[in-house]
Amino acid sequence: MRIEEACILVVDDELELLEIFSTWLGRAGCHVLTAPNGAEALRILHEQKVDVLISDMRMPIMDGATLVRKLRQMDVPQPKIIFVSGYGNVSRREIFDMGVEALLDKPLGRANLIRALERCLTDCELRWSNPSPEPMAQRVSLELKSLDEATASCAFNLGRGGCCLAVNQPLKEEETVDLSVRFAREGLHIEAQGTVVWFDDRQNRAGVAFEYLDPECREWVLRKIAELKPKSFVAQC
Amino acid sequence: MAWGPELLRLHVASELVIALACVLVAVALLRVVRRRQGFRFNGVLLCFAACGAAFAATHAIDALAMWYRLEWASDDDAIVAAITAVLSLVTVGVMVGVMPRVFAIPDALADHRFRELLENAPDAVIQADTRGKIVLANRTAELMFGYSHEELIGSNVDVLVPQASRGAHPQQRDQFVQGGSTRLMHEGGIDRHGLRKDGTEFSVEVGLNTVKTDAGVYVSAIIRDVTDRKQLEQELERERALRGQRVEVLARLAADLAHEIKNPLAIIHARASDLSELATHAEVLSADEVAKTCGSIVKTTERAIRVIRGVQALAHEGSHDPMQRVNLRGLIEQSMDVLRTRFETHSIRLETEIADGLPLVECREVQIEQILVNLLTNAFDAIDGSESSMRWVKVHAGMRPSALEFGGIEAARIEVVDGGPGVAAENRSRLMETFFTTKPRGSGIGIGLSVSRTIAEDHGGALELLDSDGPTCFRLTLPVLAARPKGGPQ
Repeated sequence: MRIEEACILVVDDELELLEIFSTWLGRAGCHVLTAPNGAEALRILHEQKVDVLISDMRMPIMDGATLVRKLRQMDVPQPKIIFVSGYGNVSRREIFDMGVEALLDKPLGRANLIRALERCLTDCELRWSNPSPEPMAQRVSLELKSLDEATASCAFNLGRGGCCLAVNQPLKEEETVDLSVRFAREGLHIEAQGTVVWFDDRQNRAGVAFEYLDPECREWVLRKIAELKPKSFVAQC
Repeated sequence: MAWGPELLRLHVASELVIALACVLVAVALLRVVRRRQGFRFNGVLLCFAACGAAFAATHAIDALAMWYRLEWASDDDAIVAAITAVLSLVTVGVMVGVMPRVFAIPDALADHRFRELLENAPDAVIQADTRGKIVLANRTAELMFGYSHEELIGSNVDVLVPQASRGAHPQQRDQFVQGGSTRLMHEGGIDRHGLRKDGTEFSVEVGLNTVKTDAGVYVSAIIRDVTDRKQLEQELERERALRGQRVEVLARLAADLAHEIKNPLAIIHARASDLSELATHAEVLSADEVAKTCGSIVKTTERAIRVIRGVQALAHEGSHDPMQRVNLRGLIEQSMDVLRTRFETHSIRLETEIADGLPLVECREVQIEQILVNLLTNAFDAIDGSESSMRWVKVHAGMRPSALEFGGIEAARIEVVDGGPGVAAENRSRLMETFFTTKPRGSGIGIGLSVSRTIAEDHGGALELLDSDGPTCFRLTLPVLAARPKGGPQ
């Protein structure tokens, strides 16, 4: 979907920020709706189809996390979700497990907001087709027996936009990684570039959002996502 | 000098004087022996007396022989000399035998020094027999417990133990004596109380050890008055609690702060980057637009600074600040500013009702702000932690209405009232205790109210939970003119 065709709902209790964000999005050609809190946003979502929900996390009356949980229970077309926050009372791991596609920190420039929005509106197939020319900061390799077994033991868990996996090296949030995961039984090899969205150093688990998938495995991953229909964007394990 | 009558006279006189002296020494020794029947060295004294008598006899015979040139005297002289020699040898023998025992006698000087050391020791020293009868007590013990020496000696040690623990004391003492052990003060002596003659109790630390003598087993107790130390410990504890409260408040504030600072920063950042973007794209900007954007940046910056100032005030220790005359309205607003976001995000209404014309109140602003933030935080927790809460908190400020309360001193009061479920009756009395908390584990450590009350009392004021069936109301009373510390500058 092109950004000009999209209907965006922006939710923030900071009215001045709400005004700035809608000015930016309006300038980019979107149709913009605004709400000062989660409850108001829910009312709008009931009434009309929204393509992307951009929400603050800490808000009076209803916070961002509650808004998303309630939205998930609603029988309405589910928008893609971007969280914009300076601080949240919910962990990054939970946020991505809820199906949130991007978490942007405040302060936030116009270019970053538009880039994240465009990414959200791009089909996965297209989104994962352009490798980054930059070298990745880390490389993670995994040799697993089978997808089922790996899922059961939380060594690998697929979400709509990335995966959670067992790692034996320290990673940093927002770090880029080269991912190589082999499944012996399926004879499958996932080669990917991604961004670390969370890292748990006690359980040695990391959540990685895919940025690029090797053509060899891309179709398999897309088919698997269509088949499993995971609720999470990056699974929590 | 040639032999002449003068010389003879001198010689004879000298011999007689020597004889007399020897007799007197012998008599003196005999008297000692007669008077001190139990004396350990009577044997050797008798030997000396015998020797003395013998010496007296030889000298007397010598004198007679010389004066009268008596032949018989010379013969007898030889016999007496022989007896004297034998007695002398016996005496020497007895003396040598007695020497070790003589050396074993305590040196009177050393004994005196030891006695002084004991009497003036900084700790009380008491020795009692196995039934608890006091046989020794030093001066410090007398002063510490308020008894005279005569009163202490012969009394039972139980009189020095408060009634409450007296029952178990004899049994503990028996156990200790049977164990025959030692319990030194520095290796965790017993922490207990002592009872003075006037009935007052005081904190003591007791070290015990048993002494075995020929006459039986004694228990020595070294007792240290630790009242001062306890007091210091309490002061230290209070200081620590104060610091803990600030840390507790600050930890919660850190989260709010991130939000409170990042939002204005996001606005400033967005406005400024917008302006620079538009300018670089050579778009024509109206003066109005620029003024509006810059005005927003200035306003938002000021907002961020206010937040930082509020937190700085809380982080400040404050207990040594000078008293200042403070406008209560500003102080209340400032305290509420710190927490406003938290209340708003949880949809709790925060209202104030501040009387007009309140006088300036003399206080340490930071400390009073700490109390208010604490009370507001408690109100927040009470409301947020219960489904049945009404979601509002009100802060009332005004003058104390009646001059009869509070010692007739002019005082202001601030009340923090909340719509929470109220304080359970069983918790009311303990609420101000240090480390008492009704909050779930991890969210409060129970020092806020006790520290707040201490601060209020330091100001000559009070902090109390009003006893009513209505909404929970904490009342902080502050005299308009702060109480001066005793002996402090006027």
